[in-house]
Amino acid sequence: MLNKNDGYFGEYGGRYVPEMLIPALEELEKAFYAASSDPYFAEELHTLFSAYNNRPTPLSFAKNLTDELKGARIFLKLENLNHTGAHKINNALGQALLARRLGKRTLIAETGAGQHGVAVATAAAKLGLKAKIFMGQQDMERQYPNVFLMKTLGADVVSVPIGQATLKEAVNAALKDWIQTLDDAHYLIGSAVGPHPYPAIVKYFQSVIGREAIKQLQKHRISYPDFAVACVGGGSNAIGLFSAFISDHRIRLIGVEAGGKGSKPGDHARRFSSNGSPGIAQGYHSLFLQSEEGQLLPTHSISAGLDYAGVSPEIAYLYKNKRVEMTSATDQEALSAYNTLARLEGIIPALESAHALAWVIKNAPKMNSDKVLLVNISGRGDKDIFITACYSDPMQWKAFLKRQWKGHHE
Amino acid sequence: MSEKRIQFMAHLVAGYPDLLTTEIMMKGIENAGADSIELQIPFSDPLADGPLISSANHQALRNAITLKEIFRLLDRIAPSLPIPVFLMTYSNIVFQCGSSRFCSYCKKAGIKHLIVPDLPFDSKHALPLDLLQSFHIDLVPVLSPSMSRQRLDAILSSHPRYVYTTLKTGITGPEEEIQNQGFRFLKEIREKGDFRIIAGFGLQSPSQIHFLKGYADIAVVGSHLLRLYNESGSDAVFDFIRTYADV
Repeated sequence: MLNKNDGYFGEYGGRYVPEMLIPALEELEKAFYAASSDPYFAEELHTLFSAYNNRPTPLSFAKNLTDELKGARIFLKLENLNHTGAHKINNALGQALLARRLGKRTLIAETGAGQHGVAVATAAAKLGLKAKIFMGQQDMERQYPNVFLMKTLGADVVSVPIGQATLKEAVNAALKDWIQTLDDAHYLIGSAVGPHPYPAIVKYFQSVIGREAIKQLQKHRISYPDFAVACVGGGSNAIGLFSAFISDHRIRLIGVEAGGKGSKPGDHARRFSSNGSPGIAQGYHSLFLQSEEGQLLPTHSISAGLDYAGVSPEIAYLYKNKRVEMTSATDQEALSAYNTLARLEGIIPALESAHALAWVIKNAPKMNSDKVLLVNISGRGDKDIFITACYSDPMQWKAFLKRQWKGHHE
Repeated sequence: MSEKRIQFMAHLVAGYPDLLTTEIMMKGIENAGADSIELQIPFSDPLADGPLISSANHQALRNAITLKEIFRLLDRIAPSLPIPVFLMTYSNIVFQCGSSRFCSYCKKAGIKHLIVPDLPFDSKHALPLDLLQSFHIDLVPVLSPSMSRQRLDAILSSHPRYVYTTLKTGITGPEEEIQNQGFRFLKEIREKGDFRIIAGFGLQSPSQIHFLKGYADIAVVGSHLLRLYNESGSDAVFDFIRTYADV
């Protein structure tokens, strides 16, 4: 059973939307709180999680990485082993069940790199719903493989040619489409952002990560980790991991955001420290990268999942109250951590998760071996091959792409 | 039922495609017979606007239009403009400027009406009534036919002078006919008190506007004027208004 709240985390959060959206958000809020106390719903979700989604995901002691860094013991929560390869599916399945409960037949979603879009298309296919995925035109061009996968899964992918034509515009377009189709559609937001009750819903479905991790650590005779570390884009994998630990102040919660390629505006997605400021956009109040006059700024990260101007209002609140510590890793540091984990542990992490690992690699050597670091490997790195291969092996990769192209056109 | 024709409110995005055009359009719209102007201050993430108006917002921002420049223009032309300007923008623009400062800018330019569609009356950052009153600003609430009657009554209990209603549950853009739900709603709020009703979202022909007679006092035309401007320039906009105003 969940504690209801008014949708605010301190001053952050809320429901800053046109009046016409409020009835749908109220309906969703009611259905969500009812579902969260319904054992039948819990059973349905549990069955999907275990028999379809491969939960519980393993907790793995990273022995080689620990030995190499000669410091704290490092444990990896392997969310990369979820069906579709990232934690995103936890929320997609949960909300799709909620949508079905509301009698909705269509799932509307936004997607940046396409990971959330693929998760929603998957959940829709599994639960017999239609999926309509909004994606910035530029993202569609950059992430065609995921566009193809979504279409394969039967989803309708809609290109958004407005503004920067990336995630932010996709969110706006999805919300607008929802306004026009409220009766039949559920808007399945992908991160712990947006108007109330979305941050609460996403946290609820992602909190399985932290809950499992605690139990799994106990099997290693560890009652609590000293640090829980996660990357923070919108914040869904982070709040999912942190949720189990927030009330236990012995555990330090570390969020790692995208340092990108530098500190100039537009070169990073660091909403914390002095870069971001409180603002109201996309239906919620939180920290945003924005101009002095309140226009949201363009962002950059090598990892699409961290490339976003806003952030979970709850994480902004936890940061303000010094419960969560925020730091950042650059594109280069993330790439290096990505390679390290691949070589030492045989795990190719998503570039998003590599940001969290970059912090671990920097800080674990400074700690004693009695310290325990718990890191969320939020996704797997296969999806990033068009980026990572271009960085580490550009000649061979280009030659491969050329051969493929020729092969199809001869 | 009112004997007078429905008043015409023309919507414009400030700074689209540039501020000089905005100035020419404001004067031309007045000259063509419009009764008021809804001037939108552009925002990077305009949640309640359709693709056409969103694009105009982005185009204005690409041309680096600033709030200061918009108010400078308003300071210069709004006080002498014979018709009122309703200023519309999103929460964050007001929030970043600071509510009191924003209201003082409005007052200085003689702006008396403000529309902020993504700022529900019960949110933590809702504009305090006493602040608005001290600057003689009238906040125009945006209503929707699907809203709960509890929320509707709560909004109307503050006795707004104007209310702005959406005719269909949807975003700004073309819609062939005004849905019955819209008419029922207009009738309902008409009976709830003595406010001037602004109706909009999707109006694109003089006959649609005439249909509103008795139901609304002011019809706002937005996307359609923008489409006319994009396709045929400012004269097409003035002609459309003139055709309506002369009837």
